[in-house]
Amino acid sequence: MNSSSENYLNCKTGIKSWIFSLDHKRIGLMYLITILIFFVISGVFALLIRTELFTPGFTIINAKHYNQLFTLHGAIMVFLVIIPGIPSSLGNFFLPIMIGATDVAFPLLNLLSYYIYLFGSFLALFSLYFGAIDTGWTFYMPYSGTSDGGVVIMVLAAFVLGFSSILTGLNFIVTTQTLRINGMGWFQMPLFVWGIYATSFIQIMATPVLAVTLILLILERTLKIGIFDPSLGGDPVLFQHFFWFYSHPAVYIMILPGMAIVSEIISVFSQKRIFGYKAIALSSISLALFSFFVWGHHMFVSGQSELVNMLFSALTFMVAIPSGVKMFNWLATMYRGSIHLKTPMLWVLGFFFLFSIGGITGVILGVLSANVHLHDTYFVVAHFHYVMVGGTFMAFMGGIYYWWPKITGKMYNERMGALSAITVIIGFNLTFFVQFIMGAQGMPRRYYNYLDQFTIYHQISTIGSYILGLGFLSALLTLLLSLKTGKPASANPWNASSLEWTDTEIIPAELNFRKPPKLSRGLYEY
Amino acid sequence: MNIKLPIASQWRWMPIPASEYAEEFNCLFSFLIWTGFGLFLIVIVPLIIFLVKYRFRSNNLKASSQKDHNFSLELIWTILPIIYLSVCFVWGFNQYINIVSPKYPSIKMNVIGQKWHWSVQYLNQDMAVSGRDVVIGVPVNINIQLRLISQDVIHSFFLPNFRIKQDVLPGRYTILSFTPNKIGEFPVFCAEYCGVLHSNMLAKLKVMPYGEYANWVANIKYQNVKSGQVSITEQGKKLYFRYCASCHARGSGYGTIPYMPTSELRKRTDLNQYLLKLKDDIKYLNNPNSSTIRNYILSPGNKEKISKMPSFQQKFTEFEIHAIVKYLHTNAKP
Repeated sequence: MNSSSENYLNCKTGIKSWIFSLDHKRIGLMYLITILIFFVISGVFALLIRTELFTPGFTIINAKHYNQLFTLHGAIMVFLVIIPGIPSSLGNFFLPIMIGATDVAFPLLNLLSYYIYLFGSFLALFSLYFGAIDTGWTFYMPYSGTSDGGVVIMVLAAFVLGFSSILTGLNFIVTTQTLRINGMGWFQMPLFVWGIYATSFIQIMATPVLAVTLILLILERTLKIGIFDPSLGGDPVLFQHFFWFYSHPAVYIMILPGMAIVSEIISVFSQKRIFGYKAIALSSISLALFSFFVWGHHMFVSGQSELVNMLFSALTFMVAIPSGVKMFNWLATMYRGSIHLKTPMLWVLGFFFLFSIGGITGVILGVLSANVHLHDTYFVVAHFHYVMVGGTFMAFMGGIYYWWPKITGKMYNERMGALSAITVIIGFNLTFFVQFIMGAQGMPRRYYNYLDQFTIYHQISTIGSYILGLGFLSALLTLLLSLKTGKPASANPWNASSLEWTDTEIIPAELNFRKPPKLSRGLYEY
Repeated sequence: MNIKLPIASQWRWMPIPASEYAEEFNCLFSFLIWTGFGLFLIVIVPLIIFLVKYRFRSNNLKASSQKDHNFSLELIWTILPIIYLSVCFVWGFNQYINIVSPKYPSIKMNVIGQKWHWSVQYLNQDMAVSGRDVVIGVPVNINIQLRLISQDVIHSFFLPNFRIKQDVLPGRYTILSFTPNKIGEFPVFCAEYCGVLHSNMLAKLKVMPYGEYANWVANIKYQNVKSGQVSITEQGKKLYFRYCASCHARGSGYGTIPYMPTSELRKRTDLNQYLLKLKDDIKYLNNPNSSTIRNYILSPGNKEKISKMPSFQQKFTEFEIHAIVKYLHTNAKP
């Protein structure tokens, strides 16, 4: 094998060279594959849920199984797919290369966090042995203290997964702070790095609170210590405070990396310098900061005091401002650019379309009186799917397509990729937009059975979900097919300016760079 | 299901409003939806224009500008959203204060949520309705005040036509108040996930003219008598004599043990305070978790004083506790 074709994929072979690899690229790829497998599993659950809801009452499964399915769908999507999602896979792969490093700061820790993640997912699956849980992914007390099934194991799984998240975050913070190439100051870092960096802070600061909460829940369930359950002398609203103190920042663990990818793709595919670089970078930081002060907006009708509700409502609106700033900056980036409508850009346009709806409905939900009406209805379900799938996952797919040539050295079929992205956008809107309407009319969430008059919306939504599923399936198949039939990619097919494209070969070498990288091209210079 | 949610049309955002507040809410919601739609256009229209105009093609091979900042533009898109969001916040907050403020005069009811049905105690009428798909009758144009508590897990009492909901917690009261101004039948949903039959935990709020309401009450009472179901006070009395009277017998002296509803009761400062608060409805509503007979039954001791009375924590259901309380209130004389 000559040295120029040696890369991180073929430099070592054998299963051991993968499962014990300390190479951030291999670990990132293993993460990516695992995460996508869980995404498919959980997506199938979602389709089963939608199929059940095609008619009121019994359609294909009974109420108990329905409740278990939506719990598993939520828990897997949140804890196994979207939270680790972008940082652990694409972040792992590209963050070090983008700052000109040969690896993350602690490669062994990186591998450890992957195995902690695997162990956590194993525990989550193992909990099914005791009967699937039906508490909803939020584990609200006192219901989760009394319901049957493997609640303790599932909660333990979320606890373990938290450690993976903390360690990854820690690793990225140290990597970003210490391993940047000479000459790369804070404001010369690509925005992807900024986004992952801000995310990492939330991960290490918020996740311990979830860990504490979950341990308390386990103690209460096993030892009957009265912390949350009133019949033991506890306070169920306290659980919600603890839970959302983590889980609201977790929303930003999900969306910030998505925004980070969008910043990269928008600039590259407009062949134009990113507009308002500092504003975008700092808005990531301020989002990370604000995210810690808004958890109470999940609890406006929980019985917390009116004064607290008012404060949380006001603080919630503060989050909307940096998000809006980002949107406008991206728009301005496209102005007078040279826009290449390639597949990654199509995913990002999907992001624009869907995330702006998600954001605007988020503002509506932040309005106190509107929240009282809309809380726990399908309006909320639609809103967070627009943000998490329409925002994070669209960006994630865009990122995968954008970096696919670098990861695999292969170009995917452009037409197939574009068609998949468009199918997803159409299917997604069909699935979730009607949920805004039925939610506003009063259809509560987590309902197995529903009033007959909601049938039409549910049927549209279910049909949309099949289209959505088809879109994601073909998007993933397009990628898989490219491994077999894809044309070889060039080293920098998009004419991007960051180090992972300019200073590596078609597929990066084992230590990322064949020659020491140089910041020869300015950031976002085309 | 035999319950229908009144809506104006299939593709309207909001169900038919059944209170003045709901009508006001519709204004706010329309404002939010239309301005939201406007904001969406502000993002999407330029996006589409840029996509068409600046698309990569032979006469646009390179970006025609690399300008990456414009201070005044950035200032505008930071300040304008702040103004818009402030309007949203203030409007929403005002409405919220409106729904949580107590109003007079009002009809008070206890609502008890449990897996998987609602029970409603009519305190003035001394009767209760309960069960799956229960019909809760109320008169029109009078403020209704619900005091909510759960028997087991968290539920949520949701009235879409009134645009209000409130979580129903175990071990703690919450309050929900509304004034219906439309006659008709409106669904009550449980909005907080509570287990297998969560979606079947429904009730029907029946708003009637006052006369019809009085007939409805009489009819319920008549049916209760026919089926052998006694009034709340009677139920409370039974429980009182079964569990409480051996110590708190009325009319006989047991030394330091307080006669519950008698003048002796007033010697105990905490309960005395509670009774005073009962007279002062505003204070009572603002502080629904204050020391109550209910709390006393469940945990008789407190930090300062150990009570000889055992706790009745697991003994009574919420319904029974409230029946005893009702009995004590109606017979509050020595």
